[in-house]
Amino acid sequence: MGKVNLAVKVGRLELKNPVLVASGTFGYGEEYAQLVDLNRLGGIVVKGLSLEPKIGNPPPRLVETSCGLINAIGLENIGVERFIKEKLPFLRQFETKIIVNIFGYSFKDYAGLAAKLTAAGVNALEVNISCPNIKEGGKFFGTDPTSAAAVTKAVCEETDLPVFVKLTPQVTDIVEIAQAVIEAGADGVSMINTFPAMAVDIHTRRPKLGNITGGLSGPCLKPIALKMIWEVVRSLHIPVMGIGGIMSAADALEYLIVGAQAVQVGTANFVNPRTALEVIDGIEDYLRLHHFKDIKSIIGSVLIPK
Amino acid sequence: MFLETAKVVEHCHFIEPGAEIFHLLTLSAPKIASSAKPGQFVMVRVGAAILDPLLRRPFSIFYQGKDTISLLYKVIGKGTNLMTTWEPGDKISVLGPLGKGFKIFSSEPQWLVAGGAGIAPLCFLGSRLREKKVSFKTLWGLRYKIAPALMGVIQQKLGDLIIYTENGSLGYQGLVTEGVKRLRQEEKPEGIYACGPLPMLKALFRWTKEEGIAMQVSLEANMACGVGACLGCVIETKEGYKKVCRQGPVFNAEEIKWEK
Ligand SMILES: Cc1cc2nc3c(=O)[nH]c(=O)nc-3n(C[C@H](O)[C@H](O)[C@H](O)COP(=O)(O)OP(=O)(O)OC[C@H]3O[C@@H](n4cnc5c(N)ncnc54)[C@H](O)[C@@H]3O)c2cc1C
Ligand SMILES: Cc1cc2nc3c(=O)[nH]c(=O)nc-3n(C[C@H](O)[C@H](O)[C@H](O)COP(=O)(O)O)c2cc1C
Ligand code: FES
Repeated sequence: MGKVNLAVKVGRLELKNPVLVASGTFGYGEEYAQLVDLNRLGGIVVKGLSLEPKIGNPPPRLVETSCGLINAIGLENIGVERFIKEKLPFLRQFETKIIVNIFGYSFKDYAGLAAKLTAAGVNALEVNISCPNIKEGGKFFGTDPTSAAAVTKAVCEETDLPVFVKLTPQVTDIVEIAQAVIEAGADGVSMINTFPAMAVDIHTRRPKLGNITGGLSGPCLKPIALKMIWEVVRSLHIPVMGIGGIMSAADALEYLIVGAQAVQVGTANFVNPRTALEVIDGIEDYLRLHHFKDIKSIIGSVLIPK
Repeated sequence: MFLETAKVVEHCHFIEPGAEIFHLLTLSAPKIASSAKPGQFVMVRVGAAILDPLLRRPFSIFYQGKDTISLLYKVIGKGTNLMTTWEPGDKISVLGPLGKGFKIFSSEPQWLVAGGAGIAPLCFLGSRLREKKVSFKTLWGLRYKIAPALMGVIQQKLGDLIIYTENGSLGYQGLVTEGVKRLRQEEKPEGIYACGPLPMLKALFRWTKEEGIAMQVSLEANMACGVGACLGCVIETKEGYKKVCRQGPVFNAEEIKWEK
């Protein structure tokens, strides 16, 4: 059998295969380097960075639920300066794309991060807008099309790198938000971030998380994410990276068929650190089995009965 | 650190009327076995294609064989419940060895103080201390007695130990924290290694502080990755949050903010 082509282009970002690892689930890459050949990954989206280091939420920060995980890490991170100095040189050794996830509390924060990372040299930016805008009374950037567009614009003005905006599912109309960020200059969207959630210990009657609430990830998220992506792709025809509960090649293929041009593996890295590699191999096997020579043949190929 | 497909070699269930139930699982995992140090742990995947329970479960290494590791565990919830059904020949995905282990104190005598399943990392440590001919004593606090067969396994690794049970069905009646005070009348330890429930560790810390005795503790936290990537397993220390999976699970007791 001949070779199948797995390379994709998501907006301006070229990937050798459509499988990345999601922000916050793969640290800064080095944590998994002993277990996973990082060269094989389509890309690594690193843990969300802010201008200043952030200490994060009080423990407990994790609770498992049926087919899912609720986390309340609180965006703990070492800050952009230390990332550039201490983590980026290591990541640069690998033949994979480095996408840096950023978040802030004002438009200025986002612009500053974009400028610093562009100067340092990374392959793309992923903008987490599931964050409170301090000036606007803590309203999330990601829940309002106007501020989502303004954040995107603030980032795009400071960089010529491909920009992906990571959308939160906690909105009434995700298409409206996606459209706003694309019009503001984003190359595409990453969908989705975790879904707000909580869990209670019935014996102590206390919340199981130190932060009371957290974000739900894992297999239980997949059907929700798929439906949202389908809505966005069919209305807007824009580049999407699909995220949510991808545990296997079959899960990833569902996203690609619905129209995501790439996928990110998140929580599954904890369960099996080699999930992303198995997903790549599984996609290749699937393409061979169905006699496709190029992954592009299946992207967005979903057949909707008339 | 290795990701190994381990085979169940032996699975013993120490079940007896009136006794605290433990399970002893021996896995053939040559790479992990040959590099494991006392106090380190592994993350065990509960089912290969199973998504619920989703996450791996952390367990201390109870002892190390030539190509094997043994885990001593209690049933807590759905993960450990499913584990009890594993039979010899079953294949299990194991990630390890993880974390930093115990640092052996330089002077003697030393004490190991365990509560419940907290005996697991201390048994591995104790067998290492015996090899190094370090003089030590072990105190183990339990709710009830345990099956004699399990006692046999532990004595073979650790030598004699002092047992405290809450209902007095084995050894002395009372808490192990009373046991340390009694033993202190005989000797002063140069260092204590402890693992067990948080209230026990807190009480021990207060006492060791009054007595001026150094202590290392092995702590637990909910974990997702086990390798320092998710930042989910932090505990509060005097130098801020630290990851139990990477900077621990063994810490110097003075480092920890116990009041939290
Ligand atoms: C470093 C370390 C070493 C450990 N060593 C041992 C050992 O040698 N023997 C033993 O019996 N137990 C040990 N434990 C505790 C053991 O991991 C839990 O009992 C087990 O995860 C419970 O899983 P479950 O599905 O049965 O319980 P559930 O309550 O259904 O689990 C729900 C979730 O909470 C987590 N969880 C529940 N209790 C604990 C706990 N005490 N610590 C951490 N996570 C927990 C589970 O991993 C799971 O993600 C250790 C824990 C840690 C962190
Ligand atoms: C522990 C943890 C930390 C995360 N941290 C971030 C983060 O810093 N920035 C971000 O945009 N998303 C973060 N996420 C969200 C994931 O990138 C992903 O969108 C989400 O988990 C859904 O995918 P999954 O079901 O495959 O995990 C985090 C998720 C988890 C579980
Ligand atoms: S369990 Fe993920 S950082 Fe410790």
